[in-house]
Parts: sequence; structure tokens; C-alpha cells
Amino acid sequence: MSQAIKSISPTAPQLDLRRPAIVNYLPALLPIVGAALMLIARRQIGVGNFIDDGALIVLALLCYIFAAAMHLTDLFAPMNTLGKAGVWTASLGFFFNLSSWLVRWVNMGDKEAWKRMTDHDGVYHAWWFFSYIPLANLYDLSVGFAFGAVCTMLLIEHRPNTRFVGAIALPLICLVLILAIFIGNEIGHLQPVLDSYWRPIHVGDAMISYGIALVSFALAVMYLLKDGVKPESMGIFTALFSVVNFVFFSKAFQFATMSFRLTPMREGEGGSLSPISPLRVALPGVGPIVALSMLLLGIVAVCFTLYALKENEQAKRFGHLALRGSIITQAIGIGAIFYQINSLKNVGALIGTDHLYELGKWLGGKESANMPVEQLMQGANNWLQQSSSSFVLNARSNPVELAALVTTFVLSLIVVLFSFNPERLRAGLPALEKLDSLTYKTVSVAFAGLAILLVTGAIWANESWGKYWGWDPKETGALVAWLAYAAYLHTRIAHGWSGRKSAYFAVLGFLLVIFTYLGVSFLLPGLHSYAE
Amino acid sequence: MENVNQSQPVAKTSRAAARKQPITISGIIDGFLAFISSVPFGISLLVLLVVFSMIGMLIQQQELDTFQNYYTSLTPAERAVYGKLDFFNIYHAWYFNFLLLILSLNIILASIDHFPKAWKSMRKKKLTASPGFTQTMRTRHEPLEMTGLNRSELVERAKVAARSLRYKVTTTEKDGRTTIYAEKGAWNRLGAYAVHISLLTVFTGGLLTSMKSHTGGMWIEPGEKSDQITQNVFNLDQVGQRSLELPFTVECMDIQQKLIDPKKFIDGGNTIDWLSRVKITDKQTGKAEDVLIHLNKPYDFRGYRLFQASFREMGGARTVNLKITPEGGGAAQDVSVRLKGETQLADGSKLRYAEFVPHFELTPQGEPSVGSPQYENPAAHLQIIKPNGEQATVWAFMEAFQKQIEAAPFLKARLSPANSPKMTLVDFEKASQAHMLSIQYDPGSLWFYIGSAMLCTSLIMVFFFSHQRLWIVCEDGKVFMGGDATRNRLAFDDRIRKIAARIKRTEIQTT
Repeated sequence: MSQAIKSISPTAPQLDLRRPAIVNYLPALLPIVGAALMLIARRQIGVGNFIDDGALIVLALLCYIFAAAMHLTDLFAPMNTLGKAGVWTASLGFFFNLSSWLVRWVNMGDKEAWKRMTDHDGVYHAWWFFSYIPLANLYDLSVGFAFGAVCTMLLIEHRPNTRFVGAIALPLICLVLILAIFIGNEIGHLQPVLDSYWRPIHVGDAMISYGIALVSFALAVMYLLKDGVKPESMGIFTALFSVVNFVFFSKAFQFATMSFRLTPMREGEGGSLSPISPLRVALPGVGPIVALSMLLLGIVAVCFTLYALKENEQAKRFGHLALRGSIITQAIGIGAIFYQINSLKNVGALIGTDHLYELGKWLGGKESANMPVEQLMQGANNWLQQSSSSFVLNARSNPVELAALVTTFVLSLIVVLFSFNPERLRAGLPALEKLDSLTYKTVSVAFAGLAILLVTGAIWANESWGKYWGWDPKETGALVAWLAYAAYLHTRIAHGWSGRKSAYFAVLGFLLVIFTYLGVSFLLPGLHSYAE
Repeated sequence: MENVNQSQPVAKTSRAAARKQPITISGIIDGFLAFISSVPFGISLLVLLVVFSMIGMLIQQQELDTFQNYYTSLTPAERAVYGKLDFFNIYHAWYFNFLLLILSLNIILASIDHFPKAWKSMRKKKLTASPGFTQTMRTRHEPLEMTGLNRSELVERAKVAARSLRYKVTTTEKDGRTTIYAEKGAWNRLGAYAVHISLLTVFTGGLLTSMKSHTGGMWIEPGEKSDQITQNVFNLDQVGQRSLELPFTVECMDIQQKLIDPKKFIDGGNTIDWLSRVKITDKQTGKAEDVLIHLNKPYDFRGYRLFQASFREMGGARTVNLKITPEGGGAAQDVSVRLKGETQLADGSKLRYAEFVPHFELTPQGEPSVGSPQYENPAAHLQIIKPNGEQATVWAFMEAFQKQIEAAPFLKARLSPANSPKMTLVDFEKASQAHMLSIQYDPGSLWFYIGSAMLCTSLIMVFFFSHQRLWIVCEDGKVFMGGDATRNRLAFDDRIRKIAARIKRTEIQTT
């Protein structure tokens, strides 16, 4: 451990111990009380006259964006009032976020007329309202993940000198909510087997542990920045992450035609939308802009790698130029995508005939295995002609792919911001010792939380399916993330592995958490694919 | 964590020794032991485990429903390579199990290695300290200058302050100084060992499960009994089946389905719960018990666990309500009868409800058949046993279809025998036609549960508490404070400042 870690910076403002401890925790506690009042109000007023849970989420996002801006400004130009305002704006966002979730709870019950509250003999059980807890799909979990993270952040920020945490945590929380908004707040059907009392325990623990893991990631990144890792190295990771994700995982971009394609959705009865998974519609004009952004990010990765390895100043300059260029093209690209989603007419007419076989298989379901190819394609063609007029585009069809684009944009912005004046940034961050200690604290809690997540998941599986561990991708993913955190904790008792090395493990742990949370649900089959 | 790794230096010295001296067997064994018990080796194993698990996630495993499609989509080369490396079944591959074994060994050996140090820091207390010592501690307070106050008064204040924050206090006089040793949570040093013991318990459960457990499915329908379960056996894209005999029989008495909207179909999208009432008879003792098994409410029987696994999406009816008009005319009778159950009619004959057809159709040959699983044209098949022992089978339809049948005398003659009462299906309670029970025998799950409970408790004990040691050295007019905590140093720092403020009897300063 370097000497720098051992000294506590003497000038940092400290916690005022004269006030009762609870006063310092008010930004984290008041929203909980307020949201509980909102829940009661929603019960009293009824659905028609009360604010929609989706609107509350948008309000929460706005608050988080403002709070993130204040935290970032406070980091570069410290000002007590601004710091306080940042905390309280985040607190207001937390209130909207939690209220939205609780209002949704009531909405879900109302939708089924609270039928699950009575058992098979018609007996009413008051505590069975947990059957309607909004933890049924990825939207619900994302909303929970966001407030879990904000609550953790606000708890840590009860010390005035820890207000820096939000500068990285809040932008990430905004991204989680943006993903939620893309997924859409439609109330789906809960698979019967998932209606177990283990669900609130297991998924509730997931959202809290994921939230804490997010904060630990933010802290580890700050540790690395403080420890002298260049913001440009962060840029390499951002660029690589985006390019790899785009090339290998996302199906949105097709190289052969240079087109950016989204899955069309079909309007069903009552305005409900369902995606037609085997099809993709190319958005006119978007493909080349997105391709240019990715190309520029590729250049960023190469130039910054040269700079990181060989201190090549020219490479650094080029890299920054490319990064700024790509931010512009990314902004245009994202704008164009949403413009097309909202304004594109005749979506059905843009569909080519190259996916007829897949479409036929999708339409035929299980029986398609025994059907001849011509029949499948003919069926698909007929179906297309009948129904393509009801095709529309919506962000809901590919929420993760779109959220990945927004994530790349936000991360690029942060890299530019941080590399603007790295010395100033480093000066604004607290001592390494403190960052290390806070990372350790949050990782420890996240580690315990993830262990409980694995255990409750296994017990739930054993109670419902009769198998406590089946190497299902989601459980394996959670185990893998847990192992990465275990490695983090053990690096601290092995000689010479502390500091930066352990911070890398904390970063890796959170990336694996995100992979489990999104990648597994969207890429891999298994029990948890209900989350789609 | 303060317990610094000891094995690393041991490994270095033994390796160095091995280089200088002639190689001895004990030297090699020592070096090997030091290596496999070291923490960096453990971390490498964790990383390896992560890598293997990722492979298992990215390459579909052969038990998955979608595996067949996936397997055919691979190139022959991929199939050959992945197959050779056991990637389609990686979690049961020999090298994966070997890795878990080595990891367990590493955990055990590393724990043995580290235990004496942890035990020492828990049991051995340094009761005296010098002012200089306190100022070398990781968390410390600048010396308090309290001129005018003598040592005993300061000691008294410090003791009260430390006790008020629930520290255990020991006072020792030496060399004209008083050291107050304040401590709490010493047991926290052992928490890590509790965590590792829990993990080993979980692994033991996993081992027992993989060796001794078996699970299979059994379809049940009211009125039927069975003592066989069917297991799936996987071998790449081939799925075989084998049956196993149980030490008990399961007889299905009744099945029920709880729907969200009773007007709609019984598919998964409209179902909240499904319930089976079964009679389990122990083959050895002959004892029988009636049990209810429903979703997420399994039933335990002699080490076996019976689960509700799935239901057949074929419309059935648990009970039917019928209106029975005697064939010669007269007052109609309303009866309700349970599937495979009986009821007494007004004329003394018995009515038995044998079968339900959700979508009744006639084949071109005029034979009754099932058109679809949906409740398109429900019909109940009934048996009438007259008091004189004469038997007849009758179909009961909903009113509209009943009228159609009556309009076609040849059909009527075919579906309801002469001189039987007219039966109209008024109403019925929807249920599936058959349920699938999953029956599991798993002696490892108990170990797993115990290990899991221990793991959660010990992790909370480890990470939500810490071992805190604080030395307060009092001289005349002077107090020195310093200490360390295994976790949460920021809160520990707050506590030291609080104690300092209480010794000074002043407000706490804010800077």
C-alpha cells in the first residue's frame, strides 16, 4: 500500500457530530415517508385521478439529471450550497422514483382486482398483497435498482465530505432509469410459478444489492482516477465496450447494408404492443451516422491506447478530436433514431422478404419443426400481407440496444469532462484511503447481499422446481459476479494486491452484475428469461 | 482485513531453501502445500471458476429445451471441439469438479494457515501502550492537552466515554501512565472462518445432491394411481427417458385450478394456482394419507418431495352441474357431481361423472372425438347405474348443442341410450385434465439449507460488525488516543472524535 493511502486529508469537512445522527440521514429517509404517503393517497383517490407511475418515473429521471449536474459541478468547483442542493435534488428524485414503484404496486393489484389475495378456499389473506409487488419483469427491477442505488448513495452522502459519490453514481442511475423508460411500464402477466413469497425476498434483495454494487463501482472508478489512472484509459474502455457490444451483441447494425434496424411492433387489441422478434426494419438515414460514430470510437480506442502505452501526445490529441467528433455524431444518431421512431409511417412497407423463414418458424411455434420450408415461408408471407399495416416502431422493442447507445453517449461525455482538467478532478476527490475504505465498505455489503441473493434464489428454486442449483445462466451469472467480489475481498489479505488491483476487481464485479442483469435476460435462454 | 497473509513469505523462503539445498521430499511437499494454501492461488482459482462458468453460460448446456436447435445450428467442427472439451455439459465435467475440489482444499488449508494469527489477535490483548504507539495507529486523534486535570480524573472521564459507546474497557497502570484498552467485536476475527465453513457445508450438500439425488415426473389424473416416475437422461441432443419405482403410490383424488378470469381458458396466462389432492400410500407400512399439493407448496414424504410442476393445457372440468329431466317428463332435478365421483338421483339410480370433453365433435363415422383443448363445445360423459344394476352411458351437452342433437334422432340414439333421462350441462368448474407432479429425492438439500443459513448469518456478522481496538493513554494533563478497526474506519474515526469530545467535555468542533 502506498504512503498516500495512509494519510487522511486533514482539510476535508467532517461530519457534524453535535446534531442527532438522524438529521444527517434525512435526505435518504424523508422520501421513504413521502412515498408511503403517496401510496396511501393512491389507494384513497383511485387510478383515474392520480398521477401515472410512468409520469413519476420521468420526474425522477429529471431530478437525477439535475442532481448529477450539480454533483459534477461541485466536484470541479466545490461549493457547499451546491453540494447540499445536489443531495436534496437527488432526494426528491428518490421520492418520485419510490412513489412510482409503490403506485405501480397498487395499479398491479387493481388490474387483477386483487384476486390473488384469496386462497383456493376463498379465504382472504391481508399479507398476500406481496403477490402484487412490482418485481415481475425487467422494468420493475430497473426502477428498483435505481432507487436502491440512490438510497445507498444518499446514505453514504450523509457525511458532507462524501458528496462526491453522486458525480459518477448519478449518471449511471440516470442510465438505469432511461433503460426502464425504454422497456415501458406496461403491466404484464406474472407466470404462476413465480407467485411465491420468495419473490419479494429474492428480487427485493437483488435491487438493493445491485444498487449498492453500482455505488461501489462508482467509488472504485473514482479510486482509479485519484490513483492516477488517466481519464483516457476510461475512454479506451468506453470505446471498446461500445464497439464490442455493437459489433458482437447488438443485432441493430448490419454491416452489409450499413443500416440501423429495429424490431417492428404490432398493435394488438386495446393498443397493446407486441414485438415481432424475427423481423428488423431499417431506419432510413440512421445507419451511416451510427457507423461513423462507431468508427470514430474505434479511432479513439486506438489513439488512447497509444497514448496510455507510449505517452504519445499526438495520439492523445487525435483521440480527443475523434471522441468529440463521435459525441456529435452520436447525438445526431440518437436524435435521428428517435425522430424516425416517432414519425416513420408505413413501417410494414419497409420490411423486406429476407426473414420469411425465421418469421414462419416464429409464427408456427413448436409445430414449425414438422412443417416444410415452403409452407412456412408461404404462411409468413400471407401473414405479412395481412398484418403489416398495423406495424409500428417503439423504443420498447429493443430497449437494451437503444439504452446501450445512450450509455455510450453519456460515458463519452463523462470522459471528455474528466479529461478536461484531470488535476483539478484529482484534487476534488478525497484521499485514496477514504475511497478505498468506502469501496471496501460498499463491496462488503454488496457481497453479503449477492450471497443472500444466490441463497434465496436457490431456496426459491428448490421450493418451486425441486432443484436448488441448476446452472441456469442467470444463477451462474450471479455466482460469477459474486466470485469476482470474493476475489476483490481476498485481494485485500494477499500481500501487494490491495489498492489498484482490488479496485479493478470491484469494477469487474459490477460489470458482471450488469451482464447478469441484462445480458442473460436478453441473450441467453433459461428459467429467468421471463424477464424479457 | 488485518490478518495478513503468512503463507506468501513461507512459500518464498521454502522455495529459496529448495534452490540452495539439495531437493528434499519434505521441501517439495512444504512448497506445494504453501502454494495451494496461498490466497493468490485461491484468487486464481476463483478467476478460473469465473471463466468456466462464463463458458457454460455462453455455450448452451444440454439440459436446456432449446439445446437441440442450438446443437444443429453449430458447425461440425464446433460440435466436435466443444463436445471433446465437455463444454455442453461443463458443470458436470471432471475438470470442473476437480477445480471445485482444489478450491475446497485451498479454503481449508488457507483457513488453517491464517487461523493462529486471527486467534492471537482475538485472544491476546495488548493492555499497555505508549503515547508514541497510539500515534502510529491507522486511526488516531491529535493529543488532548488538558492542563490542570490530573491523571485519575482523565482516566475516569475516558472510561465513562468509552463505556458510553459500548466498548469493553481494561485499565492498566505502568511507568507512570494509565492505558485504557477499549475493545469491541473481537469475535469478528473469526467471522471469516464461519463463512468458509458455511461454504464447505454448501459444497458438501452439492456433492451429496450430485451423487444421490434423483428427480422425475409423474402425470396424474383423477381416479388414477401410479408408483413410477420418469426421468430425462441427456446425451448431447439425444434425450432418453427411464422410469424409477417409488416406495409409495400416489393416487389422484381431485384436481383444481384457480383462474384470474373464470370465463377465459385455463392457460398459464390466466392461472394463479393449480391444486392436486392425492392419497399417498406407503408400500411398506400400508399407511395412507390425504395431502394437498399446489404451486409453491410442495409436500414432503419420507425424504421425497412432491411438487406441482405443470399442467396439461386441455380443458377439463372438476365438477359439472347438470339438469336432469326424467325421460317420461316430470320435475327436473339439479345435481352437481365431481369428476370420477358419484351422486344419487331421485329415482334411486347412481350417476357417475366419468370424463369431460372441452370441444365435442363427431367424426365422419359418427364417433365422438375431441376437436381442440378449448371449451368450444363442452360435454360430460356420464354413467348411470340403475337400482336394478343396469348400466348405461350418456353424454350431457350445453343447451344449444343438446337441441341440435335432439333435432337429429339418429344422433340422439347414438349418444344417449333409449329410456335414459335427459341430461343438460348447465355449468362446470374449469380445471386442467391432468397435472404433472415432480417428485424429488435429495439428501443433499438439507446440508445445502443449513450451509446457506450459516452463510447468510455469518456474512452479516462479518460485514456489519467489526473488531475495534482503541488505546487511550492518560498522563497528567494529557490524553493520547489511537486504534484500529477491521472495517468501517470512517465510523470508527467518528467514535474516537466523540470520545475525545466527551473527555474534553466540550462541543464537537466542525471544520
